[in-house]
Amino acid sequence: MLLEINNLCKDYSTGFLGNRKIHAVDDVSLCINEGEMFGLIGESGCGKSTLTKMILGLIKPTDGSIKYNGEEISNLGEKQWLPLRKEIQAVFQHPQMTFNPKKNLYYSCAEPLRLFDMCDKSSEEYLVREMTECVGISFDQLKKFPHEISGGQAQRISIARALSLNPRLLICDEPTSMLDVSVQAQILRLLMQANKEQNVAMLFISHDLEVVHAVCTRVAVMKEGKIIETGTVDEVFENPKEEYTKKLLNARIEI
Amino acid sequence: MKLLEVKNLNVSFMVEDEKVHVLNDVSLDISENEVLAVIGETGCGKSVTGSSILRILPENANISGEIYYNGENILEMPEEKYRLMRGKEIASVPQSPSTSLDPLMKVGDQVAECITVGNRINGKEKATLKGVVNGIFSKLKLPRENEMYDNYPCELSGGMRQRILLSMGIITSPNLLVVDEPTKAIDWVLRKDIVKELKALKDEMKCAMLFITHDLGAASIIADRIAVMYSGEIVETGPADEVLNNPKHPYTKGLISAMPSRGLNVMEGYMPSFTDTFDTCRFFPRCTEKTHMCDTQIPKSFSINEHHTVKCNMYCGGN
Repeated sequence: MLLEINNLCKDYSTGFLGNRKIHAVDDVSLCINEGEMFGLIGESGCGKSTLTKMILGLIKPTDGSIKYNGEEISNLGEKQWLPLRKEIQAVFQHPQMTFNPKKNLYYSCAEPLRLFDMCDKSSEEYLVREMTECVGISFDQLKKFPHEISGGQAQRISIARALSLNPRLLICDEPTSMLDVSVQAQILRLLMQANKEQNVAMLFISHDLEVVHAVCTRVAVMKEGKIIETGTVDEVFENPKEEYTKKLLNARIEI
Repeated sequence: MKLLEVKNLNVSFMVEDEKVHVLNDVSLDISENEVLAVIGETGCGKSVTGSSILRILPENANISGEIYYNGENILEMPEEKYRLMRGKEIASVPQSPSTSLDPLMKVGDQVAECITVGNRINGKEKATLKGVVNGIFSKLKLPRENEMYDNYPCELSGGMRQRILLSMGIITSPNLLVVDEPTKAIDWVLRKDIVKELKALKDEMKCAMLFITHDLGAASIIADRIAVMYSGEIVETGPADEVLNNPKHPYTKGLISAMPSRGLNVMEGYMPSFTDTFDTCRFFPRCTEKTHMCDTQIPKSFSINEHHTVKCNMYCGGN
């Protein structure tokens, strides 16, 4: 088992004097196997993003444990996290915001390679060229700045950048919700190819059930911070047990 | 007579002394009480079409062609006259609900403003106006309808703001409503509801609609007819179910089969840039069904049947 989450909780305090508690993530348990495409669905505000932030170690959970490869990672310090960053990578919803706006795209693509000393100066350009060409971006495009390219291109570069470190777990937080259907198909194909060829496990977060159905093998449904249903995609989509899942499934538009 | 008729509309923008040709010979028409959905990828010129009908394009735009509304050419109308029509007879629901509302004004007042248009009103009128606004809010199923009037935009979620914008569009009961990407900011669960509400409202008010979207699912619910746009050109127009279930143009076919439920097939390549010049079909580099003619000829529009036209050389012999 690659990632194992047990009874994970995160409370936020709000209100005057901070005495009102909001349970953003409430007693969540799930596990992701090696090389598995795991989908997480739920409407906006149900705690999906809080969950990803905790897995990435960006915020500390209030309670519970996150185990990666059998090791507890929820209480690691920043220094201890560094080697793990290479193994757990993320792709976010707004790709343009994940690039440094003051640097060109080549710099952003080469940065992870430099950080982890994966190559020397001479082979760096070759590696960057190779990784962007496999997502269909020509090398000239990398001279541009993040605001000069379209959302679909930016998302492809951010996927290439995440995969360049050969991660074992990729967290995709709504990677296609801002994109057109035709570009969405390109991005999803790319992710499925990475899963097949590099055996990357993925936590695929989306509110679009069609996408999850097409991409994932197992799926969990989240509502108000709790996971209410887990199962294989066929089980959950063909034969939903919870009312809420049925409601979600009803919201899809068949054409 | 058609309610709206756009004929050979060409729009170009002057960007740093360079002419960027965005719309190329766009022709479309909308009858009364009909919904025409314009679908296409981001940056294909859908919103520019909507903005030219509303005459809200920036100053560097160069427009040629004709747009007839009820038989009158609105491109030649004096601004004063058109301003009285815009908002009242031709209303719009803009994109991006987060930036289209005044952050310092109560949402109810913003909606009411569409009727009063800045005129001072007395207390009694204000009370009735508030009733009208609340009525619209409850029709759009906004929660806490009686308190909603006094909220500020920052207190509302994206979906709620979108519905506030919708109510601004429909409160004057216009004859033509230009709706730009209404489902973009909305949660997946709400999307179907909003489109259905919009459809119900349209039937109730008997208004025609230009529904600009890239969401094929939403278009399939609401549209009577669909126009598919690619790189500033309309490549296919026809009845909604015919276009969706029996697409003729290779681009429409590609778009539909790229949907997750239809196989997630990738169309190779990308839309050309507007600064390129074209001496073949604009879809030629990506087309999977090109013939020997496509090398040399820019396709014209061909009719498949009375209502269905396609701009593709494949159908030049009539089909």
